[in-house]
Amino acid sequence: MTNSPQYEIRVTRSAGIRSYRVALGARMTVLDALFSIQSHQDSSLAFRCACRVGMCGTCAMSINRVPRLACKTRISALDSSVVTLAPLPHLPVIQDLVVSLAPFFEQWKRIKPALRGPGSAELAIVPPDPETSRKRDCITCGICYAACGVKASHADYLGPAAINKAFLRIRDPRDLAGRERLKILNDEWSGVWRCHTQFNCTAVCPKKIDLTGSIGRIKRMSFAS
Amino acid sequence: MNALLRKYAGPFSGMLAHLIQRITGLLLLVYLFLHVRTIYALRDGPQAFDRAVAAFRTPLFHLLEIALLGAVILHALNGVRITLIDLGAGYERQRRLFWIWSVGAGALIFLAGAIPLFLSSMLGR
Repeated sequence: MTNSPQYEIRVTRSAGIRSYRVALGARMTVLDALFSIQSHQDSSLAFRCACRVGMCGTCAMSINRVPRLACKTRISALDSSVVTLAPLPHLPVIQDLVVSLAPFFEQWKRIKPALRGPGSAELAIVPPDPETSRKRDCITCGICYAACGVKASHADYLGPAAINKAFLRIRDPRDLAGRERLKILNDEWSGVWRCHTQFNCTAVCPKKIDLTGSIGRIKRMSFAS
Repeated sequence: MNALLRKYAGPFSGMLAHLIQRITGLLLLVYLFLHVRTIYALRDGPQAFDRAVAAFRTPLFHLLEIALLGAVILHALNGVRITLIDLGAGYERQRRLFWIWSVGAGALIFLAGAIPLFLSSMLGR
């Protein structure tokens, strides 16, 4: 570890910005850096993580001003000896790097994410849909929500993840609430028409979901209906 | 600066395109008011209009005219890009569309218009 490069980790904490110097190997991640700080320098540093393999989305934070998963971001890939860490924007901070995802899930609930089928098992096996096959991997990390430029000025906006979820439900042949969801999505102030196709959500999604594409499909569906 | 350039030239070029569209849109709005204000001078007769137009014959306004051409081209081509994307074409190629169509083709059209404008207005050829 002694030959490992030194990094300056600047963390936006609840009490202000604090810098830490950490030596890290080339394959180590931002999450490793946080654990190192917590273990050896400052046990009061608050951050959140669970799976450590990019499956749960819990360790989402702003890394060098881009929302990313700490467990999937190698420090060496950032190409900078100074790494700035901050809580995800557009979400209330609980402590240090820990944010509340409550506003994100409030919007998620608005699109009625649960399947509302006929109650029978006749369509238990859904035929493959190439249009949604690459959009089902959302881990609800809130990164797209934090990166969305529209979200910064319109708190009511549903956000990319919720709209993508609604798109999946609308495309599901078992679902019967498509029209109701389209009505919510078609709202002038909080629906898909707020999206300015900035593609920030698509750029940051750790699962590479084409979220702006889903929003565009809903726009065209709303226009045609 | 390098990191910022990499960020907005790379994954966040959609955001850059959005900002350019907003800024050029606002500049064109300012130009529109100026244009209407100048035309409005016609109400007071041909002499008043000539006086209003004379203000635009300074080198500064000739340069601004060239800048206006750039803003119009960038705004128009980026508008076409956004329309194509909204119609469902080019979601996965939006970055290339921006750099090749809006910026690349835009730069060529701009040069084709700006060089004669510069030669005629600034150098009098």
